[in-house]
Amino acid sequence: MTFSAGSAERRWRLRVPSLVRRAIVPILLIALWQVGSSASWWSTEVLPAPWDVAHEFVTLCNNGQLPSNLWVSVRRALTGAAIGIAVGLALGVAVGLRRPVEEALDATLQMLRTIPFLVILPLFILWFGVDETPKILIITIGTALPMYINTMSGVRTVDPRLLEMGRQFGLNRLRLIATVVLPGAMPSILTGVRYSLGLSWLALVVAEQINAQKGLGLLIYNAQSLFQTKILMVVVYAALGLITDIIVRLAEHRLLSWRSR
Amino acid sequence: MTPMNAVTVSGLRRAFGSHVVLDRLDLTIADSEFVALVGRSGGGKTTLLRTLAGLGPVAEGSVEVPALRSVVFQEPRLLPWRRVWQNVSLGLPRSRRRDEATRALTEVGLADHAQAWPLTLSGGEAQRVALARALVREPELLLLDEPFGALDALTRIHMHALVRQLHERHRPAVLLVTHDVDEALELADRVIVLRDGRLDEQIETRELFEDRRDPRFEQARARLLSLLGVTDTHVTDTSVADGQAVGGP
Repeated sequence: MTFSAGSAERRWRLRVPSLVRRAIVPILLIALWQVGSSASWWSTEVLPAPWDVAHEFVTLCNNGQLPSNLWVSVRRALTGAAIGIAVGLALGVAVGLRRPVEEALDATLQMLRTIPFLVILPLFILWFGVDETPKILIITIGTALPMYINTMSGVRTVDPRLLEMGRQFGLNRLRLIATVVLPGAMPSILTGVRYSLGLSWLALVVAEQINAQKGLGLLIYNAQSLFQTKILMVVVYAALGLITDIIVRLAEHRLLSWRSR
Repeated sequence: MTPMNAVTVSGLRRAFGSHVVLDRLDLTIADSEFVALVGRSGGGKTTLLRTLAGLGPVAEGSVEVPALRSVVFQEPRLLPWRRVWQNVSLGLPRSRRRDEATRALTEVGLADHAQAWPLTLSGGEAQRVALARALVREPELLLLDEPFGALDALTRIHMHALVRQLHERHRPAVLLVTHDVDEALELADRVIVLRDGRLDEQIETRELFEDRRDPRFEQARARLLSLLGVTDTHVTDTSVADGQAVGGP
C-alpha cells in the first residue's frame, strides 16, 4: 500500500522553498492592487497605484529623506524596546520566582497594564517635554508590560522538579536562573519579545506625533497633501513589523531547537 | 562523623500536620554500603531520602551526611534544552566538563548519545543519563529514589546490573528507596523496612544473592513481603518459579 497524497505534498514542499510559499499571497494582493489601479477601478485620489508608491520610495531614497529618517525612527524604537524588554524580563523573573516580590509588585503592574499606554502621552509631554525622553519612555512602557506578563507566566510554568534538581546539583541562584529558569520560560519569553517589538512600532507612531523633527513621523507630517507618501509610510511600517517578526522567528528556531527533534 | 559511617541519623522526627511520617528514626549507613529501604507507599521512605539529600528540613533529631552526595530521582529530571553531555556535567567546574561527562556516559553505555537532546532518549536511556550525572561528581553518598519504578521490566533488569557494576567501581554509600522487594534483595547489602515512621526490621542480604535457591533467600523474601502486608504465598511461589525478580508488590 502506498500513501501517495502525503508524498505528493512532501514533493511540493521540497521543490518550493518556504519563503516563496509565504510570499505568494502578498504578491498576489499587490498585483491585484496594481491591476485595479491601472484599470481605474478606483481613483488614484483614494488609493495611489503601487507603481506610484514605489516611485515615491525611490525619490525619498535618492534625496536621502527616507534613509536618514528611517534610521532615526528605528533607533528610537529599538532603544525604547531594548530598555522595555530588559525591564520586563527582570521584573517577570523576579515576580515569577519570589512570592514577596509578587505581592509587592504584581497588583500595580497589572493595573498599569489595563491603562492603554497611549493615553499617557499628553502627561509625558507635560512631564518630560517634547524631546527624545517622552518618545523613548512611551515605547519603553508599551514594551515592558507585555514582556513582564509573558516572562512571569513562563517562569511560573518551569517544572519545580527541575529547579529542585538544579539546587541539589549545586547550582547557585544565578546559575539556576541561567540554566533552568530562563530556558524553561523561553517559549513564553519569546512570545513576549514578539509582542513587545510589534507594539514598539505602534508606540513609535504615537510617540512621533510629539514635535517630530526627525523620523518617519516627520515624513508623514510633511506629506499631508501627498497621498502616495502616506501609503508608502504604511508599507514601511508593515515592512518593519515583518522584519522584526522574521528575526524573532529565527531566534525561536535557534533557541527552541531542542523541542522539535 | 565517625570515619566508618557515611550516614548517621538519630532521633529524626518529621510530621506533616498531625501525621507523623518519621518517628524518632535512627539509621546508619557504612561507607560503601548499599542499603535498600522498603516500605508501603506514603510510609516516609521518600521523606527520609529527601532529608538525607538536603531537600527537607531537619526539625528534630540530627542527620550527618557527607558533603558530596547526589540523587537519582524517580523521573530522570534532565534539562531538555541542554544536550546529554551538558546535563551530565551540570555544576562541574568548567575545565573538566567535557572529559568527565564523556567518561561517565561511557560507563553507562551512552557515549554515542553525548550530543543528543534529552527528548530523543527512551525512558531507560534518560535514567542512565541521570545515573551518569549523579556519579560523575564521585559522591560519597548516592541516593536513589525509586529510580527504576517507571521502567519496563526488561529495562529494569539491565539497570539493576548496571547499578551493581557502578557500585562495584565507585563504591559510594547507597540508599535505594523502592517498593520492589526483589529489587531490594538483588541490589542491596542490607534491606531495611520502614513502618510507622520507624525502622521496623532489617535483613542482611549480602550473601543471599549469590544463590537464589538458597532457602534463606526465599525466607528473607517472604519475611519482607509479610512485613509489607503481603501474605499471599501464591504470589511468592509463582515469582520464584519463574526465576524472575522483576515483580513489585
